[in-house]
Amino acid sequence: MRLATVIGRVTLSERHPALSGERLLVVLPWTAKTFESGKDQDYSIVVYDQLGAGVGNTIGVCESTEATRPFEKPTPVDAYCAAIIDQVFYQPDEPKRG
Amino acid sequence: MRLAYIRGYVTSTVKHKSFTGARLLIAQPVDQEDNLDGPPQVVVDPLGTGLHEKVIICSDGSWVRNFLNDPKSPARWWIMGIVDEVAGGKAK
Repeated sequence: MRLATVIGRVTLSERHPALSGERLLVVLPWTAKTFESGKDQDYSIVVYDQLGAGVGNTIGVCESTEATRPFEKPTPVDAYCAAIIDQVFYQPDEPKRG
Repeated sequence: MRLAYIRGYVTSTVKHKSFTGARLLIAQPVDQEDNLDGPPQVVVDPLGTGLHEKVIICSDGSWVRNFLNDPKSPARWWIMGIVDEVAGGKAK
């Protein structure tokens, strides 16, 4: 799972028949730089959300075929919001001792 | 499977129920010369890995679904082993 910042929502007027009641978020996935600067995210992607994440939240996005696992029926999804992140502890290098 | 360094952890209250109780660490994938290669991944840690350890992360979702005891888990990356030594491994 990658971390991502939620920046918006998408609604559909026409949809694939397998979708119904979907909640779609526009998010910016974090790159290595984002962990230090809070900026420099990757290009936006759309993720399927069942947890109720809002704009400004940091979320964990599961991608690839695993994104479809939580669904009862086969659903065309390649990015799934699996967690709303409370805290990120990040330390790129081991601190020097002594 | 990829080589990676553990650089931190995340905490989450609202999450897919399969992650309850799982350790979620931040793993930075690296290439054969320890250069950063790709975005950090949040990985499931079944081993009790420490900060800054070099590990192998694996994208076999099927094993980690079994580990988390939930066939509906969206988990994908997990820590398969803690690296002792990489012998050779430099590009020619």
